[in-house]
Amino acid sequence: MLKVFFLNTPQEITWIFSGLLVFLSLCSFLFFLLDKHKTSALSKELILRTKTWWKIALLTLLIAILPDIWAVIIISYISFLAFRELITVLPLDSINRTSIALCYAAIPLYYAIIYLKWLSIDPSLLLVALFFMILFFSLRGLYIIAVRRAVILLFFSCFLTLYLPSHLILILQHTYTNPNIEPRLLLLFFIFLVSFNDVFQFTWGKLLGKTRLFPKTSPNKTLEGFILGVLTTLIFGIVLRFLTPFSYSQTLIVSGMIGITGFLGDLTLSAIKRKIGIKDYGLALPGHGGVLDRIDSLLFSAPIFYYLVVYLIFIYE
Amino acid sequence: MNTTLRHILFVLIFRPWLRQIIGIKSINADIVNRQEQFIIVANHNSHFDTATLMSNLNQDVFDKTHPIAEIDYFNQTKLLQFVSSKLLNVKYITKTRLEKKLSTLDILDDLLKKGKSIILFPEGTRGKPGELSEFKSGVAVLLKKNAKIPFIPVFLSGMGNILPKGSRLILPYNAIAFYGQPKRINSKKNNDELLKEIKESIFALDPSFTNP
Repeated sequence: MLKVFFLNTPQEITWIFSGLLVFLSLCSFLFFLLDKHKTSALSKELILRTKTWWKIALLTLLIAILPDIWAVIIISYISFLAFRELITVLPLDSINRTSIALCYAAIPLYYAIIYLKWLSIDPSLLLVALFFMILFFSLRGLYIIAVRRAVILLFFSCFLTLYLPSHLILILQHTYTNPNIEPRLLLLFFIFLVSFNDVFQFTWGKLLGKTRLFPKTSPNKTLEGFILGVLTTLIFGIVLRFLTPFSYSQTLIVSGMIGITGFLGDLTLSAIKRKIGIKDYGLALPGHGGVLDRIDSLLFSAPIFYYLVVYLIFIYE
Repeated sequence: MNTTLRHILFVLIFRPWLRQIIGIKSINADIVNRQEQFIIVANHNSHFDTATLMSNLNQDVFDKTHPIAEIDYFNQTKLLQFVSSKLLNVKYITKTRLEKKLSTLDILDDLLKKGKSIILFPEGTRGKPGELSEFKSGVAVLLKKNAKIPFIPVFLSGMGNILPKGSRLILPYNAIAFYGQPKRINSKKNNDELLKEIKESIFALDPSFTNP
């Protein structure tokens, strides 16, 4: 039977969310004072951003304390939002509407296959099937360029917003051989670390950033922000180690990887934005832009984290 | 149809569906509910234009607001007819016009005199997505006749992607409705100047137009 009621919450979840509550309250209070002292565009943006972080924290709390089915529903809805944003900004022709509809239909199907473990199919096979469907329906297009564009863009969108975040569910659903692993805590460790990495790369970049790494694609990225951000993530990884069965060296490898892939994910999606010529992916999250602007680093880190954990534990046994 | 039932249906199903699944966002939409009587003037790309504009209204405002349409498109299927006239409060003018031999202008004028608010698409028909076709001059005449009633310009962006003309497949896309401040027109201006003013007030709401 499916469990849809509250789980008994582990002690660790209470601690980590109390910590988050204190941290976010402190930030809200600090930015409120800053805005009162001297109102500027930056203080307004910081207040908006913190408000959105409160909402994200609430969503993470729901994922943490509710049974798995809710995590699947929440993450598939986020996946859907991200796909919708991408489809809105990419230059697709109206002839591809059938293919787009297929991709929309594939989102709940994909998550259902992962969650219910249907017939023990490898879920990425659905991605291959989707590729052929997109190809088939796009061939009605008259010009080869339009067909090629549809196949590339649609398949890329599905890969980015469906395949990558589905690893978050895989982290929850994987049957770990190590009995010390609590999958839910592992997922929380990952989400927290990615978010902290984002926040601190942004903060250090704003405070101390001088050397611009990619002035054209992403003017906000600086060498100082990147290095100090990754260092902060390493420290937070050690602090949050109590959620995982990792040793110190394993924690350092995992958090360092999250820092680097988070940076790369952010950079990739910024580059796409510049190519299309837009500033943000949408208006869904005030202060941040669209959903994609927020989860960009999460998307790229998720598979790396998942395979790293499976691999590390494999070595560990 | 019972108006309370209709409103419950709207608030519980239709509005969340439009906002969360289809992805239509409205900016400054509260303005409409604060007006006693109004004329909404918007650009027209999709059937979802009407749905969006109506979905932002409170119940009491909703009941006395009518989107204006010719009968041609909506009369095709029973479902579309039901959705448009019963759910969306759409007023068809073709039948009245032909039977009573009234002009479109007289019918609309009559509605406004009765205290109703109306939603107008001066382009007449749904144009190509993202393009603004020529406005019909009747809008200017109507606004001039009812200079006391404010008009609210609304710029609808991206609606044509959700359900383009000629398509039957509804797809989720992010679309935005920008509401402008209510304005009263200067009835001394001539029709061409007024048309230009209306058109500009709609265009000025497009963020990509104001900051290129």
